[in-house]
Amino acid sequence: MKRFLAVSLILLLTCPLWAELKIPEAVSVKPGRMVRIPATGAEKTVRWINTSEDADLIPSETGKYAIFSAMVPGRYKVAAYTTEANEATEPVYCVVTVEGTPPTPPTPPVPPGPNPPGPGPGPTPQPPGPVPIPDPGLRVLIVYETADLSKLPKEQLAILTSQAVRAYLSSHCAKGPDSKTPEWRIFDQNVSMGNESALWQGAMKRPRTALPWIVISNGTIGYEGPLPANVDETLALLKKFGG
Amino acid sequence: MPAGIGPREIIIDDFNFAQHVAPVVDGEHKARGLIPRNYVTAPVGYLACAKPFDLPLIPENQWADRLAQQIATKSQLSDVRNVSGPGGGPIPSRDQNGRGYCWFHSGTSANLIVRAVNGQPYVDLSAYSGACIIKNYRDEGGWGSEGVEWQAENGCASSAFWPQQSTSRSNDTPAMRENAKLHRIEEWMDLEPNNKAQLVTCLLSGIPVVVDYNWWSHSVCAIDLVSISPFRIRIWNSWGDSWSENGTGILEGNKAIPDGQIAPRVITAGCT
Repeated sequence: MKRFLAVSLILLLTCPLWAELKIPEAVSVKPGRMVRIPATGAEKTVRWINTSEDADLIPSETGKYAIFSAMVPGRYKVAAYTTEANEATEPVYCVVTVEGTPPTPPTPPVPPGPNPPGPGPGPTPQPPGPVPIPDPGLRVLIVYETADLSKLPKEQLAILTSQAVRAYLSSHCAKGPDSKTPEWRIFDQNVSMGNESALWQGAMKRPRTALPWIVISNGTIGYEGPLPANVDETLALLKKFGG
Repeated sequence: MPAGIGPREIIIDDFNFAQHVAPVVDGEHKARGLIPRNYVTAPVGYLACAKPFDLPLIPENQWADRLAQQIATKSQLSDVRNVSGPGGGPIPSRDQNGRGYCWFHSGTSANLIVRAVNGQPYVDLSAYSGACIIKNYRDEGGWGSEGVEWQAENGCASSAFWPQQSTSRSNDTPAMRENAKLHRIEEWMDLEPNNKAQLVTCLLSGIPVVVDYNWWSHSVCAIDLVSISPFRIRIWNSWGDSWSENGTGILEGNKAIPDGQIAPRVITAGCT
């Protein structure tokens, strides 16, 4: 009996009176998708803290897990804590990595006037980042808003229907499932995508911070950013990825 | 020939329009079929699928520069049409083949152009798949937005499901209806009648326009601004590729100003 009491006393002195709150140190997720972050070791309700306005964090009722989601690629930090002995515990943190290339800041649109300005500066060059469309072969998506077409600078507007751009895309892009249609698309941002392939649906769902916008991918590296200012700059950009 | 106009391209103006209203091409007396839209009973914006045109107008003092840019970069809709058909050639013109179904063919041509701009696969759309059903297989006229309304809801079938110019009721099958829905332009913009600035804004923005002409009793698809003075536009007719030059012609001056016009805005993507 004495031995039992001694062992119990040792255990009580060496073990914490409560289990330690733990959440994963790091998780990763794709843009716009949800990830479940579990919290273990807490007996009381777990509280969660979302440190970013650009992300969503939805705790469960008891806080035993939270659902995280964000549209924009990058690193986000969430925290969790609980209470013990009527006092808040130290927060524990989880770094959530939203995969993909962070978008470049948009070039401000130039409103048309009596003498519209010439083409503005091109997009900030980006180092090749994670590939936007992982399938092998060159694929290009340009997204625009119909309501803005008449306001676009004429040099930029020309890109959307330019014979030179289309000829390059048609000759360099991979072929689609029908083995004939080149894999490039130029869509209004509101186009119904329900009947398109998962590949193009995914490409259209990728975050954008400006319109018109271009997504380029060769299956190894890619680029996402505002559409360049004119046909020549667009062709130069395409050739970096398509040769 | 004036700059930007094909060597065989017909130019229709106030002085010669009478000879071009219903010509004989390849031995066939060409049909039209426009019933003028009544803007009292069908005012601008009467269709749920076509809100009143709301794009900012391109100022007239910018028209010349923007047209020059289109021409210099070969970025007009005719340039798109010319390389977006089978094998990288021109998209074949629709052919209403003697039936008064111009009012559905014009919207079908617009559908083909938008698909081409998008980079979507070429599909041989069959205008009869909508026109026949709307008119219960009668050879009967209509106006452009009447065909547009059907297309917005039901789409347009490919010739694989409704052969071109077929009037057989047996074509109307559930499979045809499902195929037609794959080729819908869900949203349109209803332009004001006789509004030249709205028409030019669309053409300089790369947007085709379904245009109705009462003087012609005909509905066609406008695709290019060709010149400002004289005012000329290029239209894509539904009289086959043998008419004029490869199915397109030029309307000049007053003959270019539509009595009814409606333009596509949002399409369904990804369909063969």
